[in-house]
Amino acid sequence: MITSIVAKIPLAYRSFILPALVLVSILAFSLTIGRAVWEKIVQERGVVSALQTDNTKLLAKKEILASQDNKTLLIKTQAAVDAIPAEIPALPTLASLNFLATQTGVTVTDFRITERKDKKSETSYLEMVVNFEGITASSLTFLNELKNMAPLVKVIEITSTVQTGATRSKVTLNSIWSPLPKELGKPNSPLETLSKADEEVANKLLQLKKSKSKVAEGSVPQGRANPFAL
Amino acid sequence: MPLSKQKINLLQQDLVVATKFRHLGKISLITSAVYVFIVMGLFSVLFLTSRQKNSLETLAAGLTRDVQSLKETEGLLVTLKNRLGLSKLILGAAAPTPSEFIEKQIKSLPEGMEVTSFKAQEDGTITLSLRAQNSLSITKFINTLKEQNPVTVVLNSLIQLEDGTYSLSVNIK
Repeated sequence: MITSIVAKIPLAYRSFILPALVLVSILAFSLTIGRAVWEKIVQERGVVSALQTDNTKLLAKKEILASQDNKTLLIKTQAAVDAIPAEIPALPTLASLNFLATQTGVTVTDFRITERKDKKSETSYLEMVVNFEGITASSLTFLNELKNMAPLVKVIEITSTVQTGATRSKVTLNSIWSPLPKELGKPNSPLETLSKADEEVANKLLQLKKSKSKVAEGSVPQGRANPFAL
Repeated sequence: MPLSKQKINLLQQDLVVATKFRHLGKISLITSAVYVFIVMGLFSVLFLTSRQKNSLETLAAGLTRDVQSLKETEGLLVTLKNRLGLSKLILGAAAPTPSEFIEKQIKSLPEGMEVTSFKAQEDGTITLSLRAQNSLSITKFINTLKEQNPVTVVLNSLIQLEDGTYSLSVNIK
């Protein structure tokens, strides 16, 4: 077949067949190689670009982490975990309430606790109804001090009856608890720093008064604030 | 008869063709050289890119090691951030503590008036039930409330009791 094709080519042009074929081969080969190399370059540039982005993130994260004072952070985290416990806070809350009542001079006469779990998140809610009595000034101080108590409670309702200086009150409180985060993100995942508002909240949590009773201490074990520590 | 000039090519036919294509060799050589140059250039770029990639990979590995060594700090920060977010659910949504307001009201009650009960709700509404010895005390009390801003006062009830005293209930928000 090749012979018949060659036979059709005029004699004068036949001597150019081989050089022409060699030239075409070189061009085709160069094109193929060139294209493959170009694709490889594009691919490598993509990897380089991704690495540059990752390194920027890693560097930023490293700088943030290195700038943190571990000791202060540990104290703040411990206070934050005391405020929002990782386990059901019924006992620590009651212990704190009792501690607060003793401090302010009121008597807790009755309490009722109901637990409610949010299905969407891991957050659980604890509703507490506490009855207490004492002189009006003490009762008001007690109510006022609830905002400074650890675990954190939200006052839902207060009902009081005042009779000749003595007050009988019923207060409905809400408290929340949630398991601690168990996993860290990837090394190059961005790290959220504490905003000014966060810092304010963290400082506020540091001021919270925690019960000194042994019951409360035992229910929120020390060290749970830092589950990532080896 | 004048002689006319005429070119006579005595070369063989294949040599005539060879003369026609005498630049072909040069062109093909240049073309090949250009292509080879381009390919060489591409290879150089690839080489440099690979070198850059390697150095970035080394840097990334070092930075990852550094970040891993600060894992404990990261854990604390993540936990703190998580707890602060949850704290805001309570601190952010909480209505201002009503006890301070109630205490203020009790302290500023005019003579002849006393609080019999109070109720504070999540939405910030405070219901005060009071007993007044006379209507003047009630007027003074209402005037005191009016001076406080921003306060919305709604009188729920005002009853004169058999002993001549008054019982009233107000909603304050």
